[in-house]
Amino acid sequence: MSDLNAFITETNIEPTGSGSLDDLEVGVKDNISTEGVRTTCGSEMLEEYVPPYDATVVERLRQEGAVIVGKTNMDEFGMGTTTETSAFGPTKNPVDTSRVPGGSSGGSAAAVAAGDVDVALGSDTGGSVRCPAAFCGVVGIKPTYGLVSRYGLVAYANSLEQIGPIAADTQMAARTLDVLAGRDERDPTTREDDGVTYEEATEWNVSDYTVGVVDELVDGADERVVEEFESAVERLEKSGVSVKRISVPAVEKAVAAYYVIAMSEASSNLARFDGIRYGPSGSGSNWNESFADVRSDAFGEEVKRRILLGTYATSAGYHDKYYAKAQDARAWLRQQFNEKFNTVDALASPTMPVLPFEQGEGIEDPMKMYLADANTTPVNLANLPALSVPAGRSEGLPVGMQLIGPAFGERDIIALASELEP
Amino acid sequence: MSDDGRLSEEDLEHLAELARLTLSDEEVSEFQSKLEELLEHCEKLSEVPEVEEEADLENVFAPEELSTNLDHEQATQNAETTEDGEFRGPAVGDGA
Repeated sequence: MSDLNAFITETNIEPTGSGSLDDLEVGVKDNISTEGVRTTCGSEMLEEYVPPYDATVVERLRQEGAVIVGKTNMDEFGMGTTTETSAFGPTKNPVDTSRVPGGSSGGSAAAVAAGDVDVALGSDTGGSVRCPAAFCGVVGIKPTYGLVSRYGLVAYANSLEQIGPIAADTQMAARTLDVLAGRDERDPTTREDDGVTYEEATEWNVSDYTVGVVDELVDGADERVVEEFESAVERLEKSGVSVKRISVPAVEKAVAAYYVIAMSEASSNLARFDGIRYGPSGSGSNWNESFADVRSDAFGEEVKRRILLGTYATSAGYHDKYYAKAQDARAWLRQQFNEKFNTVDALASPTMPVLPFEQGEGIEDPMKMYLADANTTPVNLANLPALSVPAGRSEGLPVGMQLIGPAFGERDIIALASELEP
Repeated sequence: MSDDGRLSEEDLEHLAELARLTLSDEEVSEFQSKLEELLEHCEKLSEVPEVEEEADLENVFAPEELSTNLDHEQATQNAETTEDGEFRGPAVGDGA
């Protein structure tokens, strides 16, 4: 394994069957449960937590012949854009080790980019698969909400998140998605698969496709990013794809709506960490003191910040102003996106509006990090599928193109992404 | 708490109590400024129109059947303190 701190735990979980992932080595983000192998969520709170069962996605990987070689590093509970909030130290970007790999699934993307694994799983609540895929120059897919089972994923903001694959190319990511997708009776938000594989879609002809470039998501981006993005758009045009410039005004409210909803859900989901059922136990003369003691000790700064803001946004007197308005913004955004899909097959934007940050650059400035999620968060709010595929490099650093599809339209964005690959 | 997105130290301490967190003085002032900055950004939600949306959702039902999931030993394996295969927590009231 390379020296990037991409793994929290190295392991060797054997396959239980044989199939499309035979002989492949896989990394699994450390918020996805692995029976008998600790699952820390990048937090001191779960440093010694060993799940008694496998997540559905882990079961499926093993049944198809994959070997799980490590649990990958991540921002604590998925809360970050750089993998620097991990209690186990930051991960380095293999393309340039002075840079962050993106987050929160930074360990997964770094391990893939360094060639340590063939494929890795991440989870994406507001961009956590696509951001590190873009920063490390690999492919990451965030499936439509409901395509992949969340059973065994430690919840951060469960109305927004999905597990998705990260791989060196679209074909390997699509093959893995074929294994992950489909109905799971243990997650009632999942639905039946409908036949055609995602891997087949990499061979589809896209010459009659129309792609809409979202103006608002290009305007705010660094010019070096825009230059690489536009050259990738031109390559799509050369293969016959029609390109339209379109406007989706509601995306400008996405960061605000995302953080209100994600933090509100986090404040509730993380209430389970009480030091009784798992984690270190607290001291104090009663229940409340003991809870507060262990939580104050074992949660990092960013986690506390999000729990506090989520508590604020859902408390009496503030609920209508923040939480209810954020839900309106979510519905508004969904309507605007769905309307666009009447005239285009997919939407495109830069995945991240910036080049990979220097290590340490953003950790002291949370607002700067939150704003970097401007292009990825609208997708989670609208429950849509999206992926990041390499668009090019600027000053040696990777730039990703984000392709967004209509609900359960993963195959179309996979087809378009493979058109961009050599 | 005031309506202008300002958070006083008392506000923060109240929130921390609701969230079962104890904050150091340093954390209180740090969180105060960072959270105010974020709340200020969230003011733009006031520009969002009220949206009537017909949710495209279907209920999922399953028969209620008893099945074996985790046994007591597995379920309590990560707890620091257990008693007869069950979790043991701190006293609910004071002085235990």
